[in-house]
Formats: sequence, C-alpha cells, structure tokens
Amino acid sequence: MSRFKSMISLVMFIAILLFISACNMMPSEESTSNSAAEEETDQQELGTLDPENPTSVTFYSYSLSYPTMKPGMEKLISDFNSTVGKEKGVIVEGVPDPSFQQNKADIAAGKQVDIVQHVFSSLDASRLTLGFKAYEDVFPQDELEEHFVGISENALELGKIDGKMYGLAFTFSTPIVFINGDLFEQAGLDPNDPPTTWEEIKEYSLQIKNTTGKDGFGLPPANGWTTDGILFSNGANILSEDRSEAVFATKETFEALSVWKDIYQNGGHAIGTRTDMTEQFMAGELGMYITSTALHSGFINASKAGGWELYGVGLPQFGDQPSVPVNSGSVLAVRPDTPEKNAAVWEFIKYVTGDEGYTTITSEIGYLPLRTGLADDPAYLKDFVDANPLYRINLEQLERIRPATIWPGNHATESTTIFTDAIVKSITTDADVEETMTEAENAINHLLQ
Amino acid sequence: MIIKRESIAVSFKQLKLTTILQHVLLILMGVIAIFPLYWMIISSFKNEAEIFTASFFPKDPTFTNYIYAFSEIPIAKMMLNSFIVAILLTVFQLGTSILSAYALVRWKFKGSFFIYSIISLSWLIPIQVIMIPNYVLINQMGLNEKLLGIIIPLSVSTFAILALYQGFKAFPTALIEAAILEGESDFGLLTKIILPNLRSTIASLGVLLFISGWNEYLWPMLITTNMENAPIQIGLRSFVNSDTNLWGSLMAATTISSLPILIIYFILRRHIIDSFVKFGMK
Amino acid sequence: MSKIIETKINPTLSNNIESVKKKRKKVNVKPYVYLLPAVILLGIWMYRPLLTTFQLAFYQWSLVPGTTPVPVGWENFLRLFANKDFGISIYNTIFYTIGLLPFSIVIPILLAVATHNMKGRMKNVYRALFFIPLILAPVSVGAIWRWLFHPSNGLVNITLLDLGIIDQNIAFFSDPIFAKWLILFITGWKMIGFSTIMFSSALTGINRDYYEAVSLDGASRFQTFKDITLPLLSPMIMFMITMSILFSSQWTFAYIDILTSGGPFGTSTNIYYEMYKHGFTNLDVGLSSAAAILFFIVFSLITLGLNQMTKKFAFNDN
Repeated sequence: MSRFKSMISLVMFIAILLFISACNMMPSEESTSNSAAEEETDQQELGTLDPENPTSVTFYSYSLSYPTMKPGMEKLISDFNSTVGKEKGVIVEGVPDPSFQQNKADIAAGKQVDIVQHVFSSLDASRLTLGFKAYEDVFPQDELEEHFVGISENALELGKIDGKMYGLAFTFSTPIVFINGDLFEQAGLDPNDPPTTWEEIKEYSLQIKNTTGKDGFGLPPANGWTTDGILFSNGANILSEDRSEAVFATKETFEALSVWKDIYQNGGHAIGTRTDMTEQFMAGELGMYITSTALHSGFINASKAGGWELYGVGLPQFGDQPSVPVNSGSVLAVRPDTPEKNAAVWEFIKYVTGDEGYTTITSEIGYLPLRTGLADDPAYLKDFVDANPLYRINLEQLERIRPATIWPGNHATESTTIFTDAIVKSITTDADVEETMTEAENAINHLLQ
Repeated sequence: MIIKRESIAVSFKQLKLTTILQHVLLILMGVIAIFPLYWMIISSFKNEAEIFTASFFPKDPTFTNYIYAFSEIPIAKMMLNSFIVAILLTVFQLGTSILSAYALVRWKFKGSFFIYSIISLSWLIPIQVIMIPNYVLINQMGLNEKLLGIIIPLSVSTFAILALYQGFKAFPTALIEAAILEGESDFGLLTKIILPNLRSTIASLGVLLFISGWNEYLWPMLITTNMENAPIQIGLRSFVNSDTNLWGSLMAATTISSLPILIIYFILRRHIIDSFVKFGMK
Repeated sequence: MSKIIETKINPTLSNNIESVKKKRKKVNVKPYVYLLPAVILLGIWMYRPLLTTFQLAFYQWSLVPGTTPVPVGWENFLRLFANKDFGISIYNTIFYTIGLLPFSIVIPILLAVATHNMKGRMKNVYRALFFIPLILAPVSVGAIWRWLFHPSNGLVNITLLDLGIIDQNIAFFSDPIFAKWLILFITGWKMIGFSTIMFSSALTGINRDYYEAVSLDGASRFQTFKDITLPLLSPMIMFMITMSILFSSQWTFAYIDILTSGGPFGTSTNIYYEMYKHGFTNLDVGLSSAAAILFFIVFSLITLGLNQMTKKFAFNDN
C-alpha cells in the first residue's frame, strides 16, 4: 500500500512541476549581437581594415561539401586570402554547409555567421528568421553601383525581394541535358543532333534503352528546382505575382507532368534519387541526364575516366514553345554586425563576384560567369568556353531564364516539401496527376494564409 | 530413470530432422548477421572498376579507397574524438551509476522509491523529445562544438544504474556483515569489498557503455558541426549523403570506424555476452 | 519495469544492515549525497528539457537567439494534425512497432531454443555471430545496407537481375512500399542478436527438472515447448515485448535519417523523425514539441498498460 501512495505522490509531483514550470524555463531574449532585424541603424559605413590585425569572417558554403565543387571553392577562398585578403587585412574561413543546415544551426547557436552561400528558394524565409541584411543597408550605394556594372541584369534581379537585394548572384547555372556520346552512337543516334523536344527525348530514350539495355533518360523527380523550369516551359506558373498564393494546379502543369510521367513509366527513364542518377550518369550507364551545369567538371572527369564523350543540349521544349529554364545556383547573403565586418565582407564579395572570382567559379567548378563578357575575353574565359562548348548552351539559355520559386516567408521549407512530394508522387506512382497537384496546392495555400 | 523404449526411437527420428532444420536456420541467420560486415570489408578493397560488380572477393585489391577516405574527412582526428567521447562517457556513466546503485541498495531512506522511479522512468524519455531544449542550453553554456557538450548531457546512463542495482542487490551479505563488524566505512565498503568482487560485471558494463558511446550519433550530430570536432560517426554520415561515386572510400571509412569496436568485441566477446546473459537471468 | 526485474527476493544488504543499525535514529544524509550527481544530471538534462518541451508546444519559435517564442495556444497541435506527413508518421510508427515484434520475439526465441542444447563451442560461435550487428554503429549499418540496395550497382539489384526475378532495377529506398519495409528489416536485423541473447539467458534459468519430468511422460518436443518453455519464458517475453514496443521508434530513427529522410514523400517517416525534422530542419520548434507531447502521452499510457499486462501474464517460477 505504501508503494501505491508513493506512486500517487510521484504522479502529483510531476503534475505540479508541469504547472509550476511557467517560471523561467523559456529561452529569454538574448542580448547577443545577432539579434533580429529591428536594429536597422544606418550601417552603411565600411569600417577600416588593418592588414596587421586582419578581420576574420566566416563564409558558409554548401559547395564546400560537394566533392566535385570543393576544390574549386577552396581555391577561390585561398586565392582571395592570399591576395586581396592579405593586402587589406581580411581572413575568410570557409565552413562547409551540407544540406544548407549548418548556417541555420550555427545562427541559432549564436555563432559568427557572416556570409552564406544561399539558395534562392528559401531566401525569403531566411531573411525573416535569420537576420540577413539588405545590401543597400550595409554597403555604400556608390560602391554597389560601380561593382554591379557588367553583371547580367536578369541575374541581379534574382536576389531581390520586395525591391531590396538580399542576395547577390554568386554561383549560377541553368539545367541542360547532358549526353553520353558513346551510348548515343551505340544506339545509332548522332550526339551532334540531339533531341530538342520532349517527344524526341522519349523517342531517343527508348531507342537507347532498347538497343543498349541502359536507361536512356533521367530527371530525378525530387530535383530541387529544375521542375519549376519544366512547368514554366509549358506556360504554367507556380506562385502568383505577389507571391501570396500557389497557382500551379493548372492545365498547363498537368500536361507537362503527364508528358514527364509518361517517359518515367514507359520511356526508359532511370530510377532513384538525384544522387543515384548522378552516379549512374557518371558511371556511363545513362544516356541523357538533366541537371545543373554545376556538375560539369565532375562529368568531364568521369567521361574521361570512363572513355566516353560528353555532349549537351538545352532544356527540351514542349512542342514549339521555347523552353524556359530556371536558374539554379546561389546568392551571397550577408549578415555582418559591425562596420569592420561590413568592410571585410564587402572585400570578399567584390572579389568573388568580380572578374577573377567568376573565372575561377566557371572554370574550376562549372557555374556560369555572370559577367557574360568574360566568356569572350581571352584574358579570362574565352579559351575555356571554346574548349567546352556546353557553356555556350548555358549562356544562350540565360536569355530566357526565369527565377526559381522563392517560397514565401515562414513556411518556405514546408511548402517546398509539399510541392516536391506531390511531384514525386505524381511522376513515380499511379497517383492521378491532377488530383495530387491540386491537393498540394490547397495544402500550401492553407499554410500561406 | 525409466525411459520408454518407444519414445527413444521416436525422439531420435524427430531429433535428426529437427536438428538438421535447426542447423540450417542457424547457419542462415548467422550468414545474414555477418554478411553485411563481410561485404563492407571486401568492398573497401575493390578498385574503381570492380566496385560496381558483385564479385565476392576483390580480384585486384587496392588501398586507394583508404587513402582517399583519409583525405576526404579528417578520419584520424575524428577517431580521436570518438575515443575521448566514448571513454569519458564510460567513466562518467560508471561513476554515477556505481554511486547511485550503491545508495539505493545500501540504505533504506525516505524517498528511495521515489528516486528509483525517477531514475527508471528517465529511461523512457527519448532523446528526440528533449533534444531541442538541451541544444539551446548547451549553446548558452558555450559548449557547442566541444566534446564536453556531447558528453555532459549523456553522463547518466539509466541502463547502467539499473544493471548495477541488480548486481549489488545480489551481493552476498555475509561479506558485508563481516566488513561492517570490522568497522568499515560506507565508502570503504563500496570500494574495498563490493567493487573488487564485482569487477567482471563492471568491466562488462563498461565495455557495453564504451561501445554505445562510440556509436552515439544523433546528439553529436546536433552539437558538432565542424568535422574536426565531430566523432567519426558524423563524418561517415556526411559521406553517405554526398553527391558522387565514393562508395569504395565510404566502405573504407566505415571499416576503419568499426575497427576499434570489432577488435574490442573480438577480444572481450565472452565478457560482453555474459553480462547480457546475467542481466537476462533476472 | 522494476516489477519485472525483481522477481526474486534476495536477502539484501539493507535488511541485515538495518538490524545492526537499529539504534541509530538520526537522518542519514549519505544516500542523498551518493545519489546527488545522478539526480542533478538527470534533473538538468532529462527532466528540465522535458518540461520545457511541454511548454514550447504552445509557442511558435525558430530557435534563433534574439527571437522570442510567441504564444499561440493550441495552434501547433492543429497544424500538426493538418500536416500531411503526420498521419503517415503515426501509421508508420505503429507499423514499425508491430512489425518489429517478429524480429524481437519470435525469431529470437526460435534461435535461442535452437542453440540452447548445443555444446558450448557451437553455442558460443553462434552467439558471437548474432551479436555482431548489435555492436556496429547505426551509421555504419546504414551505409552498408544503402550500398547493398543501391539502385544500379547494389548487390541485391545485380543478383535479382541475374536470377531473372526482376527485369528492371528497383530503387528500393525511393519506392513508397519498399522503403519502409527495408527500414523495418534493417532495424530487425540489428536487434535480433540482442533478443536472442536475452532469451538464451532466460532459457538457462529454467529448471531442468521440469524437462525431465515431462519427458518421462513421453511429451513431444513441441508439447514441451508449448507447455513448459513458453510459460516459463513469459517474464522475459513480456519484458522484450515492452522493450520492443517502447523503443522501436527509437531504433528505427537512425535508419530513417540515413537512408530515406522519411521519404519518398513521407512514406517511411515515424513520429520521432517528424519531431526531429520539424525541430531542426524546418526550425519549427512549436510543432516539434507538440509532436513530442502527443507521443509522450500515448507512450506513457502504453507503458502503464504493458505493466498491467505483465503482472497478469508473466508466470513466475516461485
């Protein structure tokens, strides 16, 4: 019986604790220097930098965690540190940011996070919750204007939210169809005469599959942003102009997805995740693969190792509507908290988005030079582009790009998940495309209210 | 003992068939248990061309995967981190559990049931439920990225307390009484009489705690973000999710990370298994 | 739990000590001192966060310092129920829990019985083999199985293709059906060794006399198993059922995280993974905590229920 009494007192104890716990358990207002956006004093001044006492800034980059991109990115950072950085007194520390989680976690932990290589789709959410600053608010206007000359207009627009620039386009690419020349030839196709429409894609893919036994085409249903481009290419929209509601459940979307689904189910389409298909292509086991040109350097190496030739063509179109590729890549989002940091950060930004920077990014990693003039400049990228004609495709597509969807505010991650899951379900299973996508649109709009 | 003749004949027949079936089942299960380990090891030695085949033994064994693994992630540093975490966790967990189990068994005192319940119930609290506030607290204390940040919240192992509780309870009282009559203090009783005699139990428990500390994964993942500060499991995890064909090196890294545990297991397996057996007999 | 463990009443230290110390009346501080480190640590790192989580369920917060939690009443719970992955995660949690039982009860019992009557050498070899999955790290296990089931180059696909069982590769972890079955299988694979050892030891504790008495009556092996072994194993069976039900979500978590991230489109997630995802990926602490509370309540009820069942069904050899 005393056991029973003890049991009761235990339960009561816990219950009391639960009610009393109102006191002081909650995380309280932190007086760190990283407090949220309301501190908008006019911080446009750049502090003075001292080479003897270098200011250290942290640069969170996801490219540092991808084996194919890491060497190029590291070179970029060390080039800066040994030239401009040394001269002016800035040391940049690169921090790998796998799955874009690291910077969030570190900001949450109150650590020093100054520059983040940020993807487009969640920029708005981060702006609200992670304290990123508008360029206009931390760097002097005249410096900004001077620096932006030469950067593609479209590119500059991409990082703007509500009129202010929260991210300067950094790495940039469009999706193209990479082609395994060998498999094409084995299947009796000419890699110099690649497919340009979705109908042709299906045709060529089946031919490869039937003659060589290898999968003919691959586009991972969960691919991050290329899907947006597929939908745009058929005239669909994803968000309304003011980004207040999702509008993708339309006829154009259903059509586009049905074409894709048809290839997936009946057209010699590869299966698996993005990682799986990338590996498959690199192993020489896949005829055509749509992905960002950022993987170019990796693919070139793989093709050399495997003894096959790499070719490419732009995003396929629906009928005779020109395709509308969506850019992938990242912006540089900043959150310096002192004038000295402002200056240090600005030096790095100027370098990596300047001529040298973009040259390294293109030739060492595979992204597009946003200063398109560099492609024709023999001092910088002309030779590289000539040797790698795939880049011309990229540059050509630049004219038609549309920004990837930046999902609004607080529920960006959830919205992206709902959208991507719906796409995966529509394409890979028997689920009805119209139903699935409409359901998703409703769910997202419910969130956005 | 009178044994009926018929039942012998019947039993022998049954014996043969069932024994064979039993052995088949056992061998099958044994193979299933150990095959993945085998596959991991041989894959780590396969070169680039061979890794995508299903060969059961590498035709052209190579060490390149290992070399590459070492260059991809700071394996040595991370192994060291793992060691430190595992050892300190073992020490702290053993320490707290010895003291607690002793107190609970040695004395009858007010609230003993209450405290025992609180301790046992805590076993049921999954880390996912408490991870966020702990994460916040560790950051507030400035212990993030540090190994101590990993270690301190895990310093009490309820399992260890319960196991030692059983062990202490079963301790023969004659020895205790003798010691007390000789005027031994409580602490002395613990250190001079009980612990030396329970050496093997504690050693086995210690080994188990070490293995569990070595394999810790979720909590270290939250606390350490920089590879240099993380235990080896976190390095492996990022390797798994990386973008390209690094399977050979991944298998190499996995093999390396499993080596210490496998070695310990190989040497001490009797003890480890026995301690489980003893726990099971209660 | 304590009731299951204490099936035998041993003369304890304390009983005898009591008789020696009968004269002493003052309060003994010592036990509290000895217990202090454990209790303090548990208090700070287990109970305090538990209560904080309970509170946080009623707020909206993104974990970022400088932002304060905003009270939102029951909104998190409503949003949780509306979340499309939540329903699936509950279903999967049940799926994993029940699905794991064959691996933690049925197969181990068979294995334990099969090895029980062997000579020492063989028994030890088998035991050692079965135990290996248990000591490997979840990350290592995840990596290996992921490699084995790789869509184009994994051993499983290659073998199935060679044998002509399938004519196309299967992307196991991207398949809405296979993904969760594989997670179940891998978790089960890992835990078989543990359960087998436990049942082995319980078998050792069964008095041989029972078997001899029964064999005199000419009982078949099966009857023996049914009428003697099983009932005498029942305390251990109840214990393992309890452990399995309570911890299966915990055990499957690592593999969900490494192999499928809850996918494809949420088909393999479980309640723990949702908590983790909302907390650290979506930075939505409120949702995560709401899920935590729900889970906690449900599992507490289950624990109480299991405790009652154990008392009823476990047959103790007294």
